[in-house]
Amino acid sequence: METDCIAPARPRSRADGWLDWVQMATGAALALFACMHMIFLSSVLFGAGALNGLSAVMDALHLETVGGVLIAIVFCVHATVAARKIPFKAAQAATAWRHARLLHHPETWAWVAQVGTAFILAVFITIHIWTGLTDLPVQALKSAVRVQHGGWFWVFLLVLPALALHLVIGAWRAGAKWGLITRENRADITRKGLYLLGGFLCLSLLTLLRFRLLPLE
Amino acid sequence: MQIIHTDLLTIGAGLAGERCAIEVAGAGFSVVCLSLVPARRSHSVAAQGGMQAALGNAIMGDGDSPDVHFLDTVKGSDWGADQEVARMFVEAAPIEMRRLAHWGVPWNRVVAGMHTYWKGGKPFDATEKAENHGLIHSRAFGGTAKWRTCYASDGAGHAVLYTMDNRAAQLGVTVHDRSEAVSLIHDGETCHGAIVRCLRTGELRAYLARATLVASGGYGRIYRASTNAIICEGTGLSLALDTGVAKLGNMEAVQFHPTGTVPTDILVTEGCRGDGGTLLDRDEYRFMPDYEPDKAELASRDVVSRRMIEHMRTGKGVQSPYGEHLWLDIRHLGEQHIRTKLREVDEICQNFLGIDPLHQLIPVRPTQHYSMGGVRTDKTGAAYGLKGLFSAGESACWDLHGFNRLGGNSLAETVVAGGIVGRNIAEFLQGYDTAFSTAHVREAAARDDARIRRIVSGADGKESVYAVREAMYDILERAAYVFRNGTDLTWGVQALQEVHERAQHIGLASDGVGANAELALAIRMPGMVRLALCVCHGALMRTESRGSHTREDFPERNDRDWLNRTLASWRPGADLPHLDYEPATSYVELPPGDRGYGGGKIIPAAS
Amino acid sequence: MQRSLTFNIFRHNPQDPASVPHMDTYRLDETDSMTLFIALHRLREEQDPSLKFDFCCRAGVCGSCAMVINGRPGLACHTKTRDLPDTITLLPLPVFRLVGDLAVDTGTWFRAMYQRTESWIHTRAEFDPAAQEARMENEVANAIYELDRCIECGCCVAACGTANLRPDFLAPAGFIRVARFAADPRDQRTDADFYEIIGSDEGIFGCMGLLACEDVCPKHLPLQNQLGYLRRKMGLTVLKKLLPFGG
Repeated sequence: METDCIAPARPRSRADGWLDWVQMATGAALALFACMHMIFLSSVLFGAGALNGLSAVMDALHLETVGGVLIAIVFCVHATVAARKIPFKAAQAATAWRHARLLHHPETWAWVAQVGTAFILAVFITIHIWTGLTDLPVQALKSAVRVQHGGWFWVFLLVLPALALHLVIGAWRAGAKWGLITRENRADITRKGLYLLGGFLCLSLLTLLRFRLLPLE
Repeated sequence: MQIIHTDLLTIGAGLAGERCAIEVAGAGFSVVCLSLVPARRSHSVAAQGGMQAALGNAIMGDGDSPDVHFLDTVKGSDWGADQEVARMFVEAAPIEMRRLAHWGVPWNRVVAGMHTYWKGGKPFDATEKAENHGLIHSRAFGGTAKWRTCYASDGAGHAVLYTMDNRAAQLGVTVHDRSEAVSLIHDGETCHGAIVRCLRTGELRAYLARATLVASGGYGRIYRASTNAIICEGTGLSLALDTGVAKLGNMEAVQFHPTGTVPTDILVTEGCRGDGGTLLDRDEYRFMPDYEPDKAELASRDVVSRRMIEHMRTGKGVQSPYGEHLWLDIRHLGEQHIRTKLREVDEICQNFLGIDPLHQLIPVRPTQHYSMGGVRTDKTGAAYGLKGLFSAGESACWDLHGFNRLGGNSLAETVVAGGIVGRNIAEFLQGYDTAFSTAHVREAAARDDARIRRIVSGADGKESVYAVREAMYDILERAAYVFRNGTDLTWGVQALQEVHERAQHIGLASDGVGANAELALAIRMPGMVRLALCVCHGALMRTESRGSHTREDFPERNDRDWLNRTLASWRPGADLPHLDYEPATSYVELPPGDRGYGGGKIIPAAS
Repeated sequence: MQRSLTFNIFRHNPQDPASVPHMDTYRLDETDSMTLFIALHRLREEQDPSLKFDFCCRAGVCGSCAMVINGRPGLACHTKTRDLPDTITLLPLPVFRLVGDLAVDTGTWFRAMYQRTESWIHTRAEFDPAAQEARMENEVANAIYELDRCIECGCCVAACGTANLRPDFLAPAGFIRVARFAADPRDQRTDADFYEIIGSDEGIFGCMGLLACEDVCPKHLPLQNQLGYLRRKMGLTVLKKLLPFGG
């Protein structure tokens, strides 16, 4: 009998389901790491000694090397898997942009922001991991030199807000996708997400400022 | 031109059309449904109340049976119904409701224990039986002895239509939406399908079918103010009428609802008045007690409608950019009541009128609501006059409703009649052969194509289709509304004949290319005026008052002369329908008597 | 104070080779209780009979009249001009094929969706006309109805980022249909069966969680909660396949 069926063949693979888990899990792991990384670095607010002390402990346990390599792998996986959802084709990108501009919808703009920050982070983090891992252990002075010379301060000023945005939006969207954010608690969680964004930004920018002002001798 | 062959062609894919289609497709035949809109947007979707079926599970329907349902239906019809059809209907309805449940309709179910229900604006307690827990529940609806209406929250029509279309999709029923039949292909004896216009592109296609079903719904939209969807323009009926041989039954039987809102004619429930809402005029004066001292706003639907029109005629109507109206006042019912028990009314007011019924008056006027008339069929659903043509649902005059339909019977009719007529069509198709004449197809298509070209080019004149429609609205509003009388109807028939002539000279103001609404209306317009003439002429001839047909000059129900059904046909070239009559019912289970409401004198049949 | 409204309306007739997409401007005096249903019909009947748009029930139940109203997809029939600024911009819904001006072909899209989701009850039980109906809890019936209220207007599809980017995406309207049958005890399909329908990037894993569907749905269907529910259900289905004792 004639039908109007124009549906594509049914998907048989379980890959998409898997990749969806991987995307969220790697994202969550990176977010967690980023938070720890930042809290760890912010110990410099209590003075260079605090940071150096912590770093020495971690280095002794080889946490910095092993962790760094692991995170590099997780980062690569996350970037690859998450990139599946980015509209790379020019026509698609134009559609996405037009759609966001038309709709006047904050969450849709947030997604655009997340895609934008993803590019910034992909470039920066690749460099950052390389320079970081080739120059272990982390020391306050080395970081301060980096921030105070060669324009890195300005790079960080761009990257830190990008990281904060990407992280908070990503966490929010994961919650929305998996149903942890519901119709009932959405407004509340969104507000808390904004606090988190603010808190993350403050802490990271303060830390950056501290490195900038840290006496090199 | 594309030619599509099928066993059954249904014109309309609402509940009746799809229910038939499912039955026929289930028997192994091919079916194509035509629809002006995607099937699920059909007007069936708008029915909120529910479907009557004597299941008797609810405590307030305890002791109900098809016999009681039969009495309610025949009385409601003012003895205009075909009693054999009514008997078939009430017996089949409970089974059909269960079948729908099996297919997926989420009917509300009985919950054992005590509940608070409402009747006449007052709450009372009743205890549902434990043994009926989980069976299909029912609610109250006007004019019934028992609570018998199966419902699915506030959207029975939606729930059933979606289930029906799901079932149709499952069986591979093809729906061609945005397609409008413009004429039937026939040779004066047998119907062979239809010439169809694609509403996306404007192209004509021919559908050749061994059986053709008209299930296009009512003709409410020949009136300006109608609660019907705007597609309910009676197209299927005018196609049948245009064959010259098929007949339309009881076209003058049109039901009005007293409280359609202004300007968009959305119905607000009678519950408003039942719960204590009042009707006010332009001076915010409550006028109903002056006319009906006993019952006031609680008088029956037709009485209230009549009194509202009568009062507006004294110049007390409220003037608005959308015409005259009155006010419905429910402000005194209080916030709690309005926001909960009358939530639907509250939402209609807020969403469509932008008024808050707690603080503001609701503009209302009597509004066309249901058309009892339709393509006259026998009890199997076969149309009079043309072999292979069938009809079911609101577009048919099967004739379950006679001169007044009971709320909840019409929605049930769509599926019950759909099932019965569908089985009959399947039986008809079994072993039925016919020969399609390509000459007939070519002639029909050429005739329609030429007519459309003349409308687009303005070859016959430059009458505006909208002006013609306005003229028809005006005439029907004065001559064939709630109240009718000989003087206005005589004038109305004459005026409509002039409008009919004007409708032959419609020319477009736009280019008519593609999905052009002006052209689609222009093609339909002459047929709509012919339907209006059937209503008006039938009403003029019927010198009595029966059901919703109310003659001021003949207030009695006259069983002596008018216990019959009007049959209208349109002979080629005529400017008036040809009327003849047949007995209302040949099978009599319930002899004519008093309805027990609505009042009025009865002239008994000569025994 | 009566306002004069300005309407900027998208115009294009795909059936006319000479037609190019553009915006036309119309003016109309506002009246009381004016909705876009009234305004557009007045424009067509008084100013431009070639104007194309869809209405059917004009009471918010049939879903015909969805369009993009000042940037947001919504039903024109229950949009009051009073709630809009003096200038009103109307565009057809994206994603769907254009029929003309503001009218789009939702019918074809949704029929493909029914086929893809097999939008019907899957059961081996036969209907017995002589038997009493199978019992069901009223709460269950209400829960099904709540998910069955979709009017297929297409607003959620038009507002969905993924649906705009990939035409093969099942979109929120398709997911709520699956959720409706997953909630119905009469449907005997298992989670694994539903995984075959929505367990992919064209299905639930393509949802990016932007929640525009939730925000524009004119019937306020629980899209957000149901999409989350389906993703968890499908995510768990894929995890179970990994476990040695899983399903």
